[in-house]
Amino acid sequence: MTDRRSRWFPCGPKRWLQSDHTHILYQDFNTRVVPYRQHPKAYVMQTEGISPHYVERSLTLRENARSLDGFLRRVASKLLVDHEVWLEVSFGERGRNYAPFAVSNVDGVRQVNGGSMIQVLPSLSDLPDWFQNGDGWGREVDLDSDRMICIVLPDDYPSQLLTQVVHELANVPSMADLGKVLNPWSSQRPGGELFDSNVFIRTRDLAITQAALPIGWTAREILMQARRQTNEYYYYWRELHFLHFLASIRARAEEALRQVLAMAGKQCGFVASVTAHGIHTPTEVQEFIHQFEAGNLAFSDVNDIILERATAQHTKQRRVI
Amino acid sequence: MRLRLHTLLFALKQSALRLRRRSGPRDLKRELKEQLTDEYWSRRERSQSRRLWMVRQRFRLSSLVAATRDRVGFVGSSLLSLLRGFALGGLLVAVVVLTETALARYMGLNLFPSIAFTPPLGAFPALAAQVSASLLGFYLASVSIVLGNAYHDVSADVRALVFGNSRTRLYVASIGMSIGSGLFLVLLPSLGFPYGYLTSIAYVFLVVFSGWAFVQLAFGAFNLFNPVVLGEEPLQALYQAIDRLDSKGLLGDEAVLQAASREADKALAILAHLVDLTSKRGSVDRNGLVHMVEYLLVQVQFYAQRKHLLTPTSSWFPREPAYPKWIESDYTDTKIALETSMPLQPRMAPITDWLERRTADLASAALETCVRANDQDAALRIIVAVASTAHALARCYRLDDAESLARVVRERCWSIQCDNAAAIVVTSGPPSILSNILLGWREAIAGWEEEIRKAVSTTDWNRVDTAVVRIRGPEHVWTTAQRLLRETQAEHELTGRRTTPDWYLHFSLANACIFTIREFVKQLPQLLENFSSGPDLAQSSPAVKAANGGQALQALAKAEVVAQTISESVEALESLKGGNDPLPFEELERLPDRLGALRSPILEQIAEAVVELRPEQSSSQPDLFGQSLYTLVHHTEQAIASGDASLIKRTFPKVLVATMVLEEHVLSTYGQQVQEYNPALFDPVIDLLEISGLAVTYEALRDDHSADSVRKAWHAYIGESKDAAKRILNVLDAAHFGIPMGLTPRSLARTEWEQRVSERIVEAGYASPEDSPFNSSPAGNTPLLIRMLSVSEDLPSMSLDPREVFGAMVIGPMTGEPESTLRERVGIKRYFEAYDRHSKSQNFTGTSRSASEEEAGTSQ
Repeated sequence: MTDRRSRWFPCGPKRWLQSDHTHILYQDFNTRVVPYRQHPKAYVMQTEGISPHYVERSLTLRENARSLDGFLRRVASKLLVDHEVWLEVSFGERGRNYAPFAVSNVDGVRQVNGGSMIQVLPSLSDLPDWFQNGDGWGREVDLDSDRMICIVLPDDYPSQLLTQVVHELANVPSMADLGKVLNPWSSQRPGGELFDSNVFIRTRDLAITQAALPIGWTAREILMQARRQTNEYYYYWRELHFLHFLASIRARAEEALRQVLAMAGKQCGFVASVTAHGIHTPTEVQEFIHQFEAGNLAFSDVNDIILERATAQHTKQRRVI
Repeated sequence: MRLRLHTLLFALKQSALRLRRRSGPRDLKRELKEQLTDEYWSRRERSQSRRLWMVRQRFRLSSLVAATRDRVGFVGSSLLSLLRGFALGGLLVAVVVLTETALARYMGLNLFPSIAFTPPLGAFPALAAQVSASLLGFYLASVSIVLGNAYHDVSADVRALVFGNSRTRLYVASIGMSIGSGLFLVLLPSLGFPYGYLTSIAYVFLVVFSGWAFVQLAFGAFNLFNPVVLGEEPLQALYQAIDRLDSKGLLGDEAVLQAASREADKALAILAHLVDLTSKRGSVDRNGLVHMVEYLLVQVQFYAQRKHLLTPTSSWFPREPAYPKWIESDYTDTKIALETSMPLQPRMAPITDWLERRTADLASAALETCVRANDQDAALRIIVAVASTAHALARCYRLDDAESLARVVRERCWSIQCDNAAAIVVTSGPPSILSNILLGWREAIAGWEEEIRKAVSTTDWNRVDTAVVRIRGPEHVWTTAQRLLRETQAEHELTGRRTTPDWYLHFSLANACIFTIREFVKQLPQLLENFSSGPDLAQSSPAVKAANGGQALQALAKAEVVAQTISESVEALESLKGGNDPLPFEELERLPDRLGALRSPILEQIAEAVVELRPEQSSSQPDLFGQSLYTLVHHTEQAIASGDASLIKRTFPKVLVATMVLEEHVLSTYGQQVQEYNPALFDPVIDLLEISGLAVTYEALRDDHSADSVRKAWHAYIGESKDAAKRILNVLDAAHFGIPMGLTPRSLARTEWEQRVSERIVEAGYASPEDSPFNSSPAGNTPLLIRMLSVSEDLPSMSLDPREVFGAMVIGPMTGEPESTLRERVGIKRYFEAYDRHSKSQNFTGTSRSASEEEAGTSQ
């Protein structure tokens, strides 16, 4: 698999997502980067000059995520997978759903000839049949750089670091490999030492934990089930670091939202303000980590913090835009 | 010696490993890939095989020695010892003689003057050799007879002890030394050493060897008929096995720990055989048996002090398989099982209380032997030893082990079908053992906070090879501490450093301790119930019921003390948890009520027993009647004070009957002995009248009907017999005359009761106004009887005794005497004076029944 191909089908051909633990990581990230809530929503928007309903409809990146939370969640997920996200803001397409503007994700963006941008469509081998232009090659589409927004990973979590994490996670031997070695060891060596599944499982769990250490992910079941290898403090400490990772990526998604609304507001003549409810910033999370390390934060509070409950004691409202 | 060497080697190995160990995290991914290769497990297997081979060879060698000893039998074993002694004795004499000769010949030193031995002295070596040989023959013959008669049907292990124990070998070796040195001295002239060179030292040796052999034979060599004597050898082996637990070398060597465990197991099995053998032989002195059990239990205490040095998964503990349930297993385990078409692998769970249980079995068997022989002293000594061991275990925080020990002994205590004095001691044993556990546990939990701080500071949490956290506690705390260590070590493996701060270590251990205490509090009432009532108590004799009930009350009192300590300890433990909220502990708040509910059935049991018992004439037996009656009086007074009508109804009639029995006994026993009038003779009846009067007083104070059962009991007792009622009033009169003559043993108790009711009257606001500067007018609804008592707020004491009140109000009308006669009786005279004074003083508007109404009601 090449980088070029992976850019085109972020959720398809990226083979590392098919590994057990990276898949779970992706799910955990998607679930927690912007918490799912009914009331209050994580992000609430107020507008002047237009109904917030129409703005939210314009921010739809996926059909099933027509909300501000969905937009931010989608941008953050793309950032995790692709490490950079290009968004194109379009105007004048009011035909469908009465949206004043539209935001779309653009894959395969390249900058050529001193700043102008093109979108390189995939080659024949990358494309399904229905997307070919007839001569066997992909197309190049000119883009308006004034309507393009680019978001990259935060400095604390550079692309190389995330690549290393997901590749190490994907390379941890899975259960399928274990099944292959069990039979010879359990049948061909009577009297000899059998394959010790407990030793293997402990080493494997620790290897997964070690691989995910830079982002703090706890791999769900491994640390909290009966066979967990680390203590409760370490689990919550890791969870707080994972929350810091989530908050850092989410801050980049908030930046994308800020730029999109600024661009669209200027063009369409509206002013929008966004308030985050119980959504922590990386700085706040860092402060929580310091408090927790010093023993000044109760475990029940930490639990509320990492789940970002809107009703928790530490919950605050924050003006995003 | 072998173990010392092993310890040294282990320490060297650990040092080398420490030097080789890289700092920083482990390369877990590489290790994981290695584990999926054939070579990794082959290498592991080779290493393990080498280790196993060494252990097997060691066991094989020791088994070979044991088997050889068994095969050559007593004669061969003795012969070997004899030869060894013979050689040693000869060698010692030879060394002395040669040294002496060399010094004299080559250096001209003659340290000791030569002795010209006269025939009697010169013939001494030959004589000593002959006598020793004869003695040996006599001894061999004796042992053969012993083996053939006393030990023909015992197990091989016990037979091996008879002719293979260290003491027997010592007898034979000392005889061999005596013979050897004697014969060598006899042979000296023929070897070219004239007698003239021989100094007195060689003779001294000979005399010492001979004397030692005779002394050994005289004291104990022919004591083989007593199987208890043979217990010294396995007890010593058990001690050595336990003593090795704190050896640093052993902590990391599971194979040697397992070997030590097997030695201990074998020693316990032999002791069980010996106890069994003792129980079959009625002639055996049980004093030795008790001594053996006491020593064994002391070893268990010794073991409890060092048990926390082991990990819960140590090979010291034997294993039993625990089969997992599929529904409870996690994804990985079930997946492995499904992919390999294998069942879920059973977990070999360690039995951590095996030694305590085995010891408890032994102590119980010994106890049964003593009970069947009706040896009360021996049974009591064993019960005391068990209780003291349970106390020591609980004090070492091993509450679960103490319970385990106590449970085994309890089952045996209550299953022995005997009806003798020893059985009474044994039946009341379990509650007393529980009392000791509770006291030990109370001492332990008071210091748990300090224990946690010490464990956290002394454990090196960063070292991967650290074996244990040295914290004492029941299994949950023990297991939690070791798991915490393993989890903290995992951080070192992951990142090369410890992330967990000290406060969390305190927090986690404190949480485990609080959890243990919470479970204890939950189970405490059930525990008390289990240890208080025997399975066949309903069928037991009154003495057994009374003894058991007394001990059960004692255990209950200890439990209440423990509950107080627990609340203080939990508070101290919660302080280790930093900013985290304390866990809710409703069980502790409900504990006093739950414990209080247990008291009534025990008191009922004692009440049932006391009416069937009779006062004990002999001081060689415990006074169960007196204990039960006094206990009942004490608790009935408390029930009257608290208004527990139900308990009063169940206990007071029994107290009345038993008091009358006691009065009769006192008058018949002590009345003849005293030369002059002694008011103490009436103490039992006066006590009874006092609590009856208290019942009436409290009833008036509370305006309830709690004294109804007291009146009914008196009516039932006196019935139509006016003389009986007069006798009671006569006792009151007599007691009144006796008071100026001095205090009786029970005076202070009655004063305490009166003070209590006075304080209640003050609390209720019914204090007499004339003596109080703060209360200028009486409460409008003060009952007449309370006013008659004239309790002052400043000095809560009553102007009337409750017994006088009861005598005048209840007993007086039953005598049939006119009121004028009653008013003349000195015992109740003050009542009528107070009545006249208060009933006429002012209008009485209270809602309570007045004294006159009481009187009228009683008369009707």
